[in-house]
Amino acid sequence: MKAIFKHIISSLSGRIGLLLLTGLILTGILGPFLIPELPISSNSLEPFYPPGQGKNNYYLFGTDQIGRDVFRGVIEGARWALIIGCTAVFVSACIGILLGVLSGYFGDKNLKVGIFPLLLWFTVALLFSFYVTHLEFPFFIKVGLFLSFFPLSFYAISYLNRKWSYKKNVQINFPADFFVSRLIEIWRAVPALFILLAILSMTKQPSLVFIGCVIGVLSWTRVARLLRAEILKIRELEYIQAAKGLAYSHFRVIWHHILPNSIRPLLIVFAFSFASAVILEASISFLGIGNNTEIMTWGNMLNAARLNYRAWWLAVFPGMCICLLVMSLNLIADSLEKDMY
Amino acid sequence: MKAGYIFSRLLMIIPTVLIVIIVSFFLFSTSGADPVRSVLQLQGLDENDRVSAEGYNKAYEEETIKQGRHLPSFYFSVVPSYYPDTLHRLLYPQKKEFAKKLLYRYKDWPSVENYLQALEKMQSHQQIPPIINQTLLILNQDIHNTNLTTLFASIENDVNTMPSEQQKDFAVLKTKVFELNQNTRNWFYPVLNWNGSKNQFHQWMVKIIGGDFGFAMVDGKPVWAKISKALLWSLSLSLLSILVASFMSILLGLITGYYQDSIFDKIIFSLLFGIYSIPLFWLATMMIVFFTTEEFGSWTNLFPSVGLFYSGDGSVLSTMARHSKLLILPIFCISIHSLAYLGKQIRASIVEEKSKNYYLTGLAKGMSPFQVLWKHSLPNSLLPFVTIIIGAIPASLAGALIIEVLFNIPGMGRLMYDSILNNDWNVIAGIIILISIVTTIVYFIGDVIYSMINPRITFG
Repeated sequence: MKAIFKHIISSLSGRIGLLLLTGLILTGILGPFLIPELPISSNSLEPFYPPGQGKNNYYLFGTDQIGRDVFRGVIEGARWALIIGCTAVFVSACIGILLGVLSGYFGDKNLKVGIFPLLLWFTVALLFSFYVTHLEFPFFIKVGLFLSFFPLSFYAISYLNRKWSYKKNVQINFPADFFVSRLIEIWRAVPALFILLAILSMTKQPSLVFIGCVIGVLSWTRVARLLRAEILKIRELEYIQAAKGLAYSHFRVIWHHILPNSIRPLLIVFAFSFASAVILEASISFLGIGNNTEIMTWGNMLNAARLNYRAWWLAVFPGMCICLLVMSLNLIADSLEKDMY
Repeated sequence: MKAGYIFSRLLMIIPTVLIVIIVSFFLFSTSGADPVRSVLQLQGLDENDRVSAEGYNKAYEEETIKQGRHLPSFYFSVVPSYYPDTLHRLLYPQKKEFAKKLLYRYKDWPSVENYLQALEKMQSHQQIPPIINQTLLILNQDIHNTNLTTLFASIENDVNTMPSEQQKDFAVLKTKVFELNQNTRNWFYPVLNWNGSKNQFHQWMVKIIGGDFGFAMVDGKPVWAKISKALLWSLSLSLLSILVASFMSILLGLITGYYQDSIFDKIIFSLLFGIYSIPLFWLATMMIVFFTTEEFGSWTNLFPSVGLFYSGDGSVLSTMARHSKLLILPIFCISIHSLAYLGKQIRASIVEEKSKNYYLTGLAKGMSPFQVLWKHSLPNSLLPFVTIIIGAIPASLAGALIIEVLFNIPGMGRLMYDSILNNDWNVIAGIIILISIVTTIVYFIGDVIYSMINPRITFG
C-alpha cells in the first residue's frame, strides 16, 4: 500500500489528482457541518436567484427552483456522490473479484468439485433462498442473509470437498471460466444506463445506497474482466508456482499472493468505476427519473437547470464539481498506469 | 479452424438473446404495468366510470383472456405449500395482490378464500352506510394492523340500522375475519408446480421470436414500427459522430505522436484529458446554455438552438437531411467527447510503433519520419483501433440517450425515455431486446473483422 502511495505522488498528475480527491472527500465529510444552512430564499417572485446578490442572505452560487442555497447544495452533493461511488465500487468489487478470481485462477480445468458436496450445496442454497424470500424479514436483513450465505457456503463446500475426497467421491470439472465469460458477455449485451432506468422507474423514491448497489451490480463486469486478464498473466509466474508447490491452499494463494500483486490494476479499475458511477447517477437524476428531490445531489441541481436554461449557475457549479471529481480520479488512474510493467 | 470459430461465436448469440428475453419478461411482470387496462383505455373505457362498471369488468375479463394473462407466468413455479394452484386465475391485479398479501400473512387458502368471497358479497350491496363503507375499506387494506374487536364494537349501532340482508352478510364477514385469525399456520415447505407450455412467458416469447412485439400501450401503434424507425435514427447518429470522431482522432493522434513530448503535444494532450473528464450530458448542457444564444456576448451564438424533429411523414434520411442544421451540435458534442478517448489510444499506439525496429529501418533507408509514420506505422497502429471503434458503436447507442433527450432527436434513447415516463413496458422490453441483439451482432462483426485483418490472432 505504501509503495502504491509513493508511486502515485511520484508523478505530477498523481499529486494533483490526490490533492483534488482529498479536498473533495474532506468537503463531503466535513463541509455540511462547517457551512451553515441558509434559509430558503423568500424571494417568491424569482425562485431562481442569481448568485452574489442579496439583502438578507448572501447566496454565493445563487438559489435553485424552490429557493435553496446552491453553495450548500454543492457541498452536500459531494457527500452524496461519495456515498454513491463507494457503494457502487464496493458492490462491483465484491462480485467482480469473486467471479474474476474464479475464472482467471481456476480456468476451465482446475476447479474440481465432488458431486455430493455440489448437490448438497445446491439443495441447501435453493431451500435457503426459498425460505428467505417467503419469510417476514425486513428487506435489509434479507439482503444481509443472502450476502453472508454465499461466502459461508463456499467455505463449507471447500471443507466438505477436502473431507470427502478420500472416500469414493466422484469429482467433476466445473468450467468456471466458460460460465463467467458467458455471463460477462450477456451482461455487456445490454447497456447499463437502459437497465438502470428501467429498474429505477419501478421503485418509488429509491435511496442513494440502493441506486449505488444497482449501479455496482450492473458494472461488475469491468472488474471481473480486468482481474481475469491480470491473473492469466501472473498465474504462471514463478512465485505463484512456488506457492502452489508448497501445497498452500487455494485461498492462501489467492489472498496472499495473487490479489496483492494485482492491486494496481484493481485500483485503476476502481477509480474508473467510481467516476462512472457518479456520472451514471448524475445523468439519471439529470433525466429526472428515480431521484429524490428533497436532497440536493449534483444531478438534481443539473435537472433543475434543464427546466430553466437561463439559470446558468445551476448548470455550471454542480457540473464543475462532477468534472473535478472525475478528473481527480482519472489523474490518479493515469499516474498508476504509468510504467506499470 | 477459422470457420468453426466464427460459427461457434455466432451460436453464442442465441443463449445471450434468450437470457435477455427472459430477464426483460421478468422486469416486465414485476413492473406493475397493466397491458389489459391500457388496451381498454385506448378503446375509450375508463375504470373510474361508475355508470358502466359492470361493462368495464366484463370487457376487462374478455381482454385478459384474449391476451392470455390469466395463465401462469412461467413454465414452472416454486411456491410455498399454502399457495393454491388457482391463484393466477384471479384476474384483477389489485385483487391478486390483496389475496397474496393475505396468504403471506395467514398461510391458509380456504379461510382466505372465504373471507374474500364474503368481502366481495358485502361490497356488491347498494347503498351501504358510509361508516360501514369505511370499515370495508379498512378490511380491504390492512387487517393485521387494526384491532378488530374494537373496530366491530365501534360500529355495532350502525350495523343494526342496516337492512336485514346486509346485516346477514355482514355477520358472515365478521365470522370469516375471526376465522382468518384462528386458522393461521406457521410452517410451510416449497412445492414445485409444472405448468407446461400454456404460460404467459411461452406465448410472449413465441410472439417476440416471430417478430411481433405487440402494440405500444400509449398510442396503440405497433412497437416494431416505432422501434425500427428510432433505431435507424440512433444508428445513423452514432455512425456519423463516430466517423467524425475517428477522422479527427487519427489526425490528432498522428500529429501528437509525431511531435511527441513537444509543448504542442502536451497542450493538446492535457486539453483532451480535460474533455475526457467532462460528462457528456454536462458538455451538451453547457453548449446549449452558452453557445446557442446571444445573451452572453455577440459571438456566442455559434450553433442553431435546439429544435424539434418532426418524424411524421417521409423517411428517416429525408427528415434528417431537412433538419441537418439541428444535427450539428449533437454530433459535435458526441464526437468531441469520444475524440478524447480515441485520440489518446491512437497516440499511444503510434508512440509504441515508433519504438520498433522497422521504424529505424525506414529512417535508415532515407525516408523522412513523417513518411515512415504515414506509410508503415499508421496501418499498424490502426489494427487495435478497428476493435475500439466497433466497440464504440454500442457504447454510443447507450450514451446517446441523454443527447437524444436533450436535443429532441427521435431515436432509441428518446423512445426509451418517453416509454419509461409512461410505464409503457411493451416498448421498453422491445427496446432492451433489440438493443441486445444489435450489440451482440456488432461485437461479433468486430471480432470477425479483427481476425480477418490481423492474421496473428489465435482462436481459443
